[in-house]
Amino acid sequence: MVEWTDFERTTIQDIFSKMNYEVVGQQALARCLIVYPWTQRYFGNFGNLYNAAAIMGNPMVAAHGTVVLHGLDRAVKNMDNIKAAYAELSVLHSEKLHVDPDNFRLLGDCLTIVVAAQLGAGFTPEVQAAFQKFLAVVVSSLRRQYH
Amino acid sequence: MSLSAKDKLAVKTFFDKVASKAEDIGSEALARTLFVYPQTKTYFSHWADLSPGSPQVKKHGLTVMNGVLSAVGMMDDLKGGLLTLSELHAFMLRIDPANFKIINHNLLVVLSLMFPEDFTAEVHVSVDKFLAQVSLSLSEKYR
Repeated sequence: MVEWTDFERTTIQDIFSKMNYEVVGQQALARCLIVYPWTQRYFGNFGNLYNAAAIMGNPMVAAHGTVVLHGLDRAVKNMDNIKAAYAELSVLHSEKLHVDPDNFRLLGDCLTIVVAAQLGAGFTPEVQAAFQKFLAVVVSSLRRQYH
Repeated sequence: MSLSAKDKLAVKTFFDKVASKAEDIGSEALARTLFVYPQTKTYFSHWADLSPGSPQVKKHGLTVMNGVLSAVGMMDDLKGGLLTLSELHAFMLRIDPANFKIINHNLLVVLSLMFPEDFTAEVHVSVDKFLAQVSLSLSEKYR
């Protein structure tokens, strides 16, 4: 069972309640595809991913980024049982999407960097620690059903 | 994943722009390394104060960042240029090279929050590659 401090709970709720999902989702996924180009392997049908400009302007990337970010809502709403909340999504990513779980960490790192840019000085070391802990729990839960 | 001409240019241009803030960048990155990844504090048990604003963190953050900035000038031969620093890290400091990834991540976070307009995805990928190469060169003399 993951123990959350009051500060951690408040921080996570706060970040997500103020989140612009369309902007942050698009930014995070696009950045992941640009910074770690091998992640493009999962998006063969997304059309033009030939360079950074194409990826940034790609509407399918933008739409999917939003979907993925909303996927985190499940954890935000169920912080005391993220493992159970992601059981189904974990099976999906493993059995149907065949995503190497290492990619979850890569996307998580890109999301951290995008949120840092959004919050600026507000992304204090304490906020960073809470956010990264949250993402680590989500990533761990998404990895659980792989075998 | 070696540095292309485009990477080198992106890295040089970006770091030339932000070099004046070396102390802020370095000390923030180090502070976050110590705070968000507490196991890294084990390398600084000889410091009185490991908290984010402490003078030791500030001073050492600048030292580390100056190292990164000097590496920007050595991109055509990082291994050669960082030989002495590699020996320092390998034989004297004996920092587990896994920690290089940690400080690199925190450097990226700090660069992103301090320079959101300039730290574009294209700059991000080039800087990430550069820091990875620096880490590799720093690890060179370990064994």
